[in-house]
Amino acid sequence: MGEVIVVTSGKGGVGKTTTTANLGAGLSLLGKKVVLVDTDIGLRNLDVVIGLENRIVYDLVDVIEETCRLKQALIRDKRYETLYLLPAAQTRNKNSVTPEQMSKLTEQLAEEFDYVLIDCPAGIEGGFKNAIAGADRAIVVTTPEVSAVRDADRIIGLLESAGKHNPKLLINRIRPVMVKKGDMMDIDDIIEILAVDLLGIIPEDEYIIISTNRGEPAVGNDTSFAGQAYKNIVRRITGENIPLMSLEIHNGFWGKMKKALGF
Amino acid sequence: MFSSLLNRLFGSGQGSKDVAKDRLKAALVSDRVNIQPFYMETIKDDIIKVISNYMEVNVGQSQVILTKNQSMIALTANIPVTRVKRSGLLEEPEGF
Repeated sequence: MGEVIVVTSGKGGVGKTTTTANLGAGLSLLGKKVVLVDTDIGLRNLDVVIGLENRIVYDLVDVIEETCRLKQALIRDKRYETLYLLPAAQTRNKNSVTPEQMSKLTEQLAEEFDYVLIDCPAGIEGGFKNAIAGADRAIVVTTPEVSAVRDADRIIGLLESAGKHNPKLLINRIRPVMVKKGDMMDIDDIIEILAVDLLGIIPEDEYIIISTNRGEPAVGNDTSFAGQAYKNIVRRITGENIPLMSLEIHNGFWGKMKKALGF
Repeated sequence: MFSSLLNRLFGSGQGSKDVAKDRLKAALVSDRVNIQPFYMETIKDDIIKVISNYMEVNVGQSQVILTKNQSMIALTANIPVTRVKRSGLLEEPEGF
């Protein structure tokens, strides 16, 4: 029996979909059998982020309404042998699915896969309730901004009251230079405020934009800082104890000099 | 202005993150006021338990709520006392 993990945040644009794609690809690099489920019905994006948009025939709503069999709707990623996508419907709305139907579906998927990763839509309405319904674990994504942290707090409260305890926090888009200047909240600040366990941090990395442009998860690129951070998180998900990545700044002339000199 | 320039140059001291943190904390207190009724009931039961060591109270008419005005949030407990226990009073003088 696999594990069902929902990736959620409350606020939009903090990196839920990018995170789902990278964690999925990263887990499959470790040989795990993974299925990504896009529950953002009407605003699907996981398909384009991971580069499988041209292969969609059936979607989540087709499966729920039994227009097709579950296996027919799963798209296998050719680059990652053990990675599959169940895309969201684009021309329907969030009410096309109920939390009970989602629970049943994810349970069914967990029989086949090691990990079922659910990409949750922004917001706290029906789409959120559907996305968390069948989850065993929750990953809350936030960025070091007041709006994102506030929404994360709300989401943590809602997860808690839905019986999804101990969600893990992923802090995305940290900018070490700004943190050092005292112009960006750091990991400790955010953990202190939200009082949850930290799953990991992802530094701001331009490569994420490039990888999304290409539809290739950053986790597949060994030189990407963010890709490396996602790899660490993936290993933590599988139960390994991996230390947090250092956010030492090696940018600019002095940084490069220091690095070259081994400081 | 000058100090912020110094901070920028030397990368130390207080930046805008402390403002962010303070504002966020204040916003969260207010957001979290809307806590689960279950928790308020639990708080009420605990308070009554402590008070009952010293006084008899009317449990049915007791009420514990969070109230909010512009500047702060307060926990307001309204617990009618029906009798004060003798053991809860100051110790009786010796040799009485």
